[in-house]
Amino acid sequence: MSPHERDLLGAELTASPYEFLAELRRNDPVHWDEQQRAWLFTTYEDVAFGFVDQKLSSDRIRPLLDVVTPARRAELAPMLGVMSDWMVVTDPPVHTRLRRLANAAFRQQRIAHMTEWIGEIADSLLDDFVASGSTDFVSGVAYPMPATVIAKMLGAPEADKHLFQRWSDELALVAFGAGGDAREDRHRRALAGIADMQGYLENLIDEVTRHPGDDMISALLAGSGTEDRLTREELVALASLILFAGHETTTNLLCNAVVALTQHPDQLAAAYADREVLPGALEEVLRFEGPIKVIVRWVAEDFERGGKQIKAGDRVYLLVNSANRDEKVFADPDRFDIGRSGQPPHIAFGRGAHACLGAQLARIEGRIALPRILDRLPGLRLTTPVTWKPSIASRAVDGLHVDYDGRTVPALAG
Amino acid sequence: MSTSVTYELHEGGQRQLDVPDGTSVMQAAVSNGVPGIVAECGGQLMCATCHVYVEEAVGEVPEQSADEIEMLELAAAETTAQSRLSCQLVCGPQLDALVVRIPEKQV
Repeated sequence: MSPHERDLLGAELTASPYEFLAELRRNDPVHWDEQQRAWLFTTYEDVAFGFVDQKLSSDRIRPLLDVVTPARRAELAPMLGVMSDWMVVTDPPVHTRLRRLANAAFRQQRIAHMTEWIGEIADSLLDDFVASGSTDFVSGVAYPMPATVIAKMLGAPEADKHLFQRWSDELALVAFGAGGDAREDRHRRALAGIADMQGYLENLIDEVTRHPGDDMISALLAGSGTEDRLTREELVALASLILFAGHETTTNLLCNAVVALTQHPDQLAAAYADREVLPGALEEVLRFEGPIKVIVRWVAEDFERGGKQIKAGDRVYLLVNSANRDEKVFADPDRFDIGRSGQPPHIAFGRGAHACLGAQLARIEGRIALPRILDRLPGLRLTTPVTWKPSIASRAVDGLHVDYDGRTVPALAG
Repeated sequence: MSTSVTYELHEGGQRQLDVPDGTSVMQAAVSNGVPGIVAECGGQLMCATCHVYVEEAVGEVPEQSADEIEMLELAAAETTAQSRLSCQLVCGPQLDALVVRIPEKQV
């Protein structure tokens, strides 16, 4: 294997991708990865271009179905059929319409007014976490907080949120290209997860139709006051996308914030001393170790970039984690600095038509969670070395265990 | 036809652009590398990262919708009666000139 060919899903790059990415930016910024069969765009400028240029399509499910064997297509189709309705993998005009309806429903939620109840959710989770003496930060805080928020926004009963994790985990295996499990097993599980989730959402939609409320599904059912409404299939697809996207990434953001802060004690100390630094710290976490590493696009039309001929039908990986460390944009990019100015901005939420729908919600959740985490968990520290999950798209820890001053060590069973 | 738009930069100094009809103050800033306007969502009125303060206007400034007022609640910098989301300030023949001040932060 050439020195430049390294496995994005291998142990080395999963643990620490950044040196390799810097090497690519220096020597081969638009790089063909033979293993992934994709062009890697590694600079901020090229990634920003990739997000907005019309020659790059988000329609990345159908092309996948086109290139596989008929047998494989039959196997993948039921699962990918649902995901292919997700607006995240559509282009204008289909995307434009779905996104406009989703935007309206999100705006109607008035997330700026949610700070009080999101704070109550965080407080309650931290109460339980501290009372239990648990060290499992993912189960105790990072998973349930965004899951509870998105469940409430969708109008789902809070008690059902434990279901969401299972489905999201299954979906993430396919959507985020996670490594590890055998592909057939992964797809079978994802299919089961999707079938369960669809059934659940269809029941929820029926329930909400009978008893509309101020949740997003009610808003989507009502439409935005124009004649345009979603079909039932579109509504299930959109609700499932929001459910899936609405917590996996935010869970990872909260975990990555804890990792980054505890791994940089001087920054953690600054945060303990002054909560005002935390919004800036959150942005720096998004830049330094954001939850999304890669966004995938398909090439709709030939073009030249970085001296390379990019062909229609090629796949492109926008390496967000590389763009966010681009030395041409960020001074001392590998330094985690919570005091870093917000200019130039990171690109962790993307740009343009497909920019993260939930970006402001994620920011609000992070800004509410972080000070409470510090307030309730003094002397926060990790108890085990951090291991990252192998995944093309996601920067996610494989569990996160923390200790803090005054933790009540749980009594051992008799 | 175009609108003369002056961007007062947060770090001091200013940039002046002639913005064609149909182009927003945000789009002109982003296309011309005016710093301090992030515009994450590219003009969908979903991110509140294109916030500006309207200092001066000659002519008619596009009206503010209920959605814009809603989204301004998410702006990172302090909002005032002059606050607008610049993706909604679409230039046209009714607007001769505009001076906007860029806030200290967008996120």
